[in-house]
Amino acid sequence: MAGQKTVLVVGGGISGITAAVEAAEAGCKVILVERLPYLGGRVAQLNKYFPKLCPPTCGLEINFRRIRRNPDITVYTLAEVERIAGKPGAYTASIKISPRYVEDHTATSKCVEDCPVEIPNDFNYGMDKTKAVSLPYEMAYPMNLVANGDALNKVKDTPGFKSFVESCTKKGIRIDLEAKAETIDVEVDSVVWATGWRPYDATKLEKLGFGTCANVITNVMMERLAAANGPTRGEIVRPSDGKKVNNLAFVQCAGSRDRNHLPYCSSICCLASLKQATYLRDYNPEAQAQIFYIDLRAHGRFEFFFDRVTKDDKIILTKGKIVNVTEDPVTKDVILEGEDILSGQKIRRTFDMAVLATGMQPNTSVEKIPGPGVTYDDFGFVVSATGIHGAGVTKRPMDVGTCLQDATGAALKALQDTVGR
Amino acid sequence: MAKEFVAEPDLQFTRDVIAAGGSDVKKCYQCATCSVACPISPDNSPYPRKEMIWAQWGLKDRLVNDPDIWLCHHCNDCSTQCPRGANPGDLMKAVRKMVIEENSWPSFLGGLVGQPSLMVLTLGIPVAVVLFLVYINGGFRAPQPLNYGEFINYLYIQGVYTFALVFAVVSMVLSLKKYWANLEANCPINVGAVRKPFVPSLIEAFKEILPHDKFKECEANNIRYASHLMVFWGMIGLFVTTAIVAFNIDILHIAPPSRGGPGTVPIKILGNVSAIAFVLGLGIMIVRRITQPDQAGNSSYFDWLFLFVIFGTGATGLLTELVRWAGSAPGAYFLYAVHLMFVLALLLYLPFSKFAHIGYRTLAIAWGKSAGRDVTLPVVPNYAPVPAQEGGAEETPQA
Repeated sequence: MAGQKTVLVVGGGISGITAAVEAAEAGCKVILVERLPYLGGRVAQLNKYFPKLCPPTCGLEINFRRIRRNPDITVYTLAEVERIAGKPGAYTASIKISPRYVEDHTATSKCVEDCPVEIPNDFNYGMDKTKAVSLPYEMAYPMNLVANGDALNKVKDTPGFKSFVESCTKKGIRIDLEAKAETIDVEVDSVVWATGWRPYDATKLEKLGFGTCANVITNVMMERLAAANGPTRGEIVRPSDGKKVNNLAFVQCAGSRDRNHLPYCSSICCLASLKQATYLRDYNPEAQAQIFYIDLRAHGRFEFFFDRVTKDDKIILTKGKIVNVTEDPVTKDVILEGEDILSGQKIRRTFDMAVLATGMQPNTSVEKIPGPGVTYDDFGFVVSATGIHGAGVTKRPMDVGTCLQDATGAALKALQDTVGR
Repeated sequence: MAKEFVAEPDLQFTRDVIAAGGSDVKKCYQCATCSVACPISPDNSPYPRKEMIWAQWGLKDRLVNDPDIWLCHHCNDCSTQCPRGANPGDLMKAVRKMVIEENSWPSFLGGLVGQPSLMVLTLGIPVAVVLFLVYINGGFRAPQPLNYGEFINYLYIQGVYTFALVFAVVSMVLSLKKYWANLEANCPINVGAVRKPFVPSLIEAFKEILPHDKFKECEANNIRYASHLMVFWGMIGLFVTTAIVAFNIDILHIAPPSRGGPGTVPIKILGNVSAIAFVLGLGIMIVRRITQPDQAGNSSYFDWLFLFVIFGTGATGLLTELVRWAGSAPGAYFLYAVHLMFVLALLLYLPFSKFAHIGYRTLAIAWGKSAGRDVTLPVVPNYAPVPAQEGGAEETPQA
């Protein structure tokens, strides 16, 4: 390759990481831009993958090592691409990099405990609190502290905060609330866009009780609840009273395949719920899980995963969408209402907790790509196949394994752009 | 539903349902949101999810013998919450139209009233009859002082309208008898063997219908309940008024209120209050159908024909009175003639138009009472694991 070409990869989730390492290992320079202070995206927040039920951290760790040892990959975290101009082979991109507000050369969390300010922990979907100066999570890459500037600025004149800053300085950790964002312009030959997805906003599902019933959570929250590094250290207990969950309901298609919400199937929620049913059964052998579905979709080889999970007679499948979720005001049990289609009777059942299987909404449906020549479908997924290349869930809902394949394909497309063919 | 069943799909029926207004039925993917969204659907075999799949599969025998289609009051909660836009409310309405056609006696009239292409004939018959009455009474004249009996002899009116009423009642009764027999023989809903007798069931149905108790439970669309209640009681009031006036003229031989006969004031109050409620209620229905089709549902020819005739009846009745007060005799006579046309259409087509719901719905509600359809299943309590050695006590959920 004559002269090193550069690929810009936007989004540091599993798709972006994959596209970045594949392009870099093929000989390109890569700039990887991530909005959050760490790489890994939604996958970092998962407890286990289906169908192998292995933890995602091992796969992430391998990829982080590939990034770390590759001098051709530059990672910008807390960074956003503001503008892209040009054409394949000659793009200019502006990247805004926000400050971490904390400089940490010790990779220690010792000072974090002294931090007087607590903020909701986004990594755990707000189910617990974290310090305003913290490591995003145990396996974070880069393994650096990050501070929440807004939260700290509110208390910066209090004596407690001043002594905290002092004690940090003594430990070699410098907190600098004056730090400013900077914008850099880079010349790149091609762009891969992999900004992924967000869980559909469950508060919009007015009848399903999220936000009004204490023990209604979403499937992404269930991942954190079951995770050893989650808010409960892996104890699957109810948010209302910390009671061990014995009877768990899964509400499939919560806002999916619904013209009033996400009209499409997110393709992974059925398998995610089957997987999460195993979390509960492994954690509490007495417990039972009931999955209420319209159609259970386990495509391809996932059929075998479906077979394996449903052999468990304490994982019950009931055909019929749940329409209403209410709460017993005394016990805080949740009451689900639907129709059991196979028996033709209405369902009114009580559970300890309910998990809403919400779908994947592409981030590009909310924040369009600030560059030329990108087209979208009705739901905000990227459909254009030339110019800026979509990868992973930016293109359509898909599971992690498919994201890896798709991102590898996107990396190849990007490489083709760099040689002008 | 363990018994063996051989499906006999009738694809023409599915096409007919689609043509009759259930045009989105094929979008349904059987999630059952509708059955639960409906505030008045019974817990055992709730509607309209099952009706949707029967319609998709062309299971005509089931649908036309399904009393549940009449339990639906078309509040449209199911359609607004439907994730697919399959509009179950419209399907139910379309099947109701087909049931009216299916059971009509004589059957050709059922076909006539439901056919948009035959509208001229449908509306032409009552117009022609009244024009004929005007003609044989000496053409359009405006005798003063105002006396409708001079314009068209009451004997003619009584002859024609009594015949129309008797015809409507006989036809309705025969249609309903057929329908009831079908329900008894072929109803697709599993009900227990113990059945309440007909008359007590009918009385129970009346107790629900007169105050519109069930209709009131369609909370999301309360205006629909209010307007229907107004029309319902308005019509009863008008019927009573007409009956009293006819009785006064025919039996007691005293002058009608329009000519200041004795006992005029209470009759007038009853008549006018009823007429205003009637017209106002219908006005609300029409305005909502035009301005809020998403809540009122798609309106078909069948809906509009009935609304046109019944609203026309009320509106021309009121206008006739107003014009008479205003002192225009020719105007009053003209409107009186038009009013007669509307009344004749209303009576004549009672068993074949959407008006027939008055009979079918009453009967279906009575059938439901008789079969014990008002089931409310209890909430299944939370599952709590029991220690293994005790065994057996734990509740086994249905898979």
